[in-house]
Amino acid sequence: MNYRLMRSPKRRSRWLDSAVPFLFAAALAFFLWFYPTALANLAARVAVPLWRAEARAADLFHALALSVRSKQVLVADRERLARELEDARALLLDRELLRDENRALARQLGRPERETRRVVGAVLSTPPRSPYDTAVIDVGRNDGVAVGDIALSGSAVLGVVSKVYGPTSIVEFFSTASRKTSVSIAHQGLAIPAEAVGQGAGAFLAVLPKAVEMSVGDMVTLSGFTSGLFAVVDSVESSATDSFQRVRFKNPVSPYTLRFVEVAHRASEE
Amino acid sequence: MRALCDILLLTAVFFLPWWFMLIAASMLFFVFGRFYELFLFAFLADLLYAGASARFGGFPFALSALALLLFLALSMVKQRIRV
Repeated sequence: MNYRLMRSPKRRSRWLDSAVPFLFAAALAFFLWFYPTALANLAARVAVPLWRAEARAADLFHALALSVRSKQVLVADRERLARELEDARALLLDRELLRDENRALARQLGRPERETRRVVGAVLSTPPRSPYDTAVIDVGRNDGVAVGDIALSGSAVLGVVSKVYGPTSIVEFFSTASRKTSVSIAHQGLAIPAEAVGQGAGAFLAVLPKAVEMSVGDMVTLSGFTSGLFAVVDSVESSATDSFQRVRFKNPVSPYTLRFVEVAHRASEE
Repeated sequence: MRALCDILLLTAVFFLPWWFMLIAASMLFFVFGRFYELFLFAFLADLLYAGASARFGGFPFALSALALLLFLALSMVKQRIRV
């Protein structure tokens, strides 16, 4: 018995197999053009309770793990932390003095003093989950966060808010691979301008002429009148035949272990 | 069975590294027929995590595009080995 191959179910199934990916691509293009944030907003709303539940479960697990640790370990930990706190207090003694000096210098240079508006947000998701090397934080448009705001951890500058939804925002780290940022490297009272190229996981690389003096431990800040610390020089590499040196610096805070960040309004930081 | 795998993959999107979901979905592609979930989960990951990044030329659906290419490649492989 003859039958027409054109209408066989196998052929229809193959057509469906090849059509679905293209329909999907068309749907992507449609959403990208017409509703760039609608679906992402919805996804963020669904994800926030799940991520908060995960954080709560992790806290509970941590508390349980602590409760079964021996008393001796806890006492040793307490003593170590007390010592570290004393050291930190000693280091911070001149902080207010330096801040006043900084304000006075800025006033002399004609920079008006601005109130810095900061919002604290919990980190819901960190880079290994994201292919984009981004973090999701639980403050968004509802809390006054805007695209371009700076994300900090203490005084360490980490990244910039690149997308804002109602309940959440996406922070893009300066250390994202191949991202370029203008920075100043402070070395013996000089501010050396450089371009930091992100290497991922809080690491950066800058290539500078060998004649420029640099040493491990030098502080790196964002170019301009910003108060935050960008990174600390980790290593300086060069060979005898090379006329350039490769300066590697690291963010003082690892983006992978963040729990909270502060979001500072960009206009007030500049 | 398929619903259970879908739930596990969905959980992976929220809580595990992105590559885990992609590898697991690629393996499940050979277990189930027409595993379109590969697109859906990649799209969800893009919605959740993509910033206006310079990393992929500002394209916010890089993982979805990768899933699309993976789907076409895996379909060809699956056809050849007649799973």
